[in-house]
Amino acid sequence: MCLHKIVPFLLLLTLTPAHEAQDTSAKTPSDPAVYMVVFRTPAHVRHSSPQVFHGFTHDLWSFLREKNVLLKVDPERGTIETESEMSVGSMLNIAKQAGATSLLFVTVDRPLSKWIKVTVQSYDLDGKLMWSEQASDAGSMTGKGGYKKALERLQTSLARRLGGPGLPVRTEATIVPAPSEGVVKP
Amino acid sequence: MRRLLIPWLLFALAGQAIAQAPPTLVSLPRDTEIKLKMAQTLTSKHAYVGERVELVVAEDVTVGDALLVPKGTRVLGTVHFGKTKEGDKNNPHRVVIQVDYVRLGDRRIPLSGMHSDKGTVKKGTVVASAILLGLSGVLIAMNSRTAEIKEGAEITAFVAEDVELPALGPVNKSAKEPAPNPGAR
Repeated sequence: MCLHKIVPFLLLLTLTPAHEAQDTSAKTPSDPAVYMVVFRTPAHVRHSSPQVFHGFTHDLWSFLREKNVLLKVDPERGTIETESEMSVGSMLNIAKQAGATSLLFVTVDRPLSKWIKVTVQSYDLDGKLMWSEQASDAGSMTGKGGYKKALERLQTSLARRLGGPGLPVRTEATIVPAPSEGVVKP
Repeated sequence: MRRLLIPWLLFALAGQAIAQAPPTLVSLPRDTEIKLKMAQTLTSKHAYVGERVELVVAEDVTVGDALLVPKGTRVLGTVHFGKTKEGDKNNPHRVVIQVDYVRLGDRRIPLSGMHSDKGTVKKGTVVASAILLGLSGVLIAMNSRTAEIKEGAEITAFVAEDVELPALGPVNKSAKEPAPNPGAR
């Protein structure tokens, strides 16, 4: 009888962890990834156009992708670009369920004294603000110039944070499939 | 030794087979009521038709003792009535949202339900405008009303079709049963 030969395999089989109840409500984040939400302030709604808002979001998204930041693409909405107020708690809930490990909250504003003002805040999943960066421009002659300068300033300050908390970048060891879609309007 | 080992192995394998069995599917019937909460604030000044709306499940959805949709699960809806397009400066004074589906893992469970807000005019504003500008002030005040559905507002939706879902676990009885009233006799 060759029972003694198969016993180790049977033991191994029985000691394998049992199938756990599948919790489909939230994906367990394995690799670090950032979920981006972009908010347009009422002042920007009054004094600027949706094209500027979506254009800035697109440029920022492209910059982060170019720098290999691990951005989480929401299968439902791509990136949330909204004029409606949403609490950080709600955004974190969406980020968690999308499988992200941090939230990048971008606020696009248009104060009267500036062409554009952009604030980027990074939160961990516990809701703790890890860092914040701000860029604006008031000195340019045209709105287009102000937009360009503000974007450059923001890119410079974000470049310093690449690879740090809240802005994980893809290394050679990290194998992440490219998202099938880019920025999707809500 | 062999006499003891074989029953033990059979017992262990049977246990493993039970543990590895796919989760039990429970039927969630059509028209089951689901309590939702707004996860964002929506106003008639900004909401435009077709815009996506974020909501969450406010209470665990259970059938018998099985938990099917946990509280906090993401729900998506759409603005059904509002501004005609993004960037439109008009304020339609009314906002209506339509609940579309619950996003449970990779599945979408279709829901039906609508919620609307017509906006209110504050009496003080109307009176002050009437004193300052007369009848035109009243009209301006009436026209300035903004409909708003605040974050956290409760909305009821219904399951749109019969669905079978895996039970995520037993209902947390301690959370469902009300605490005994110490003052009651």
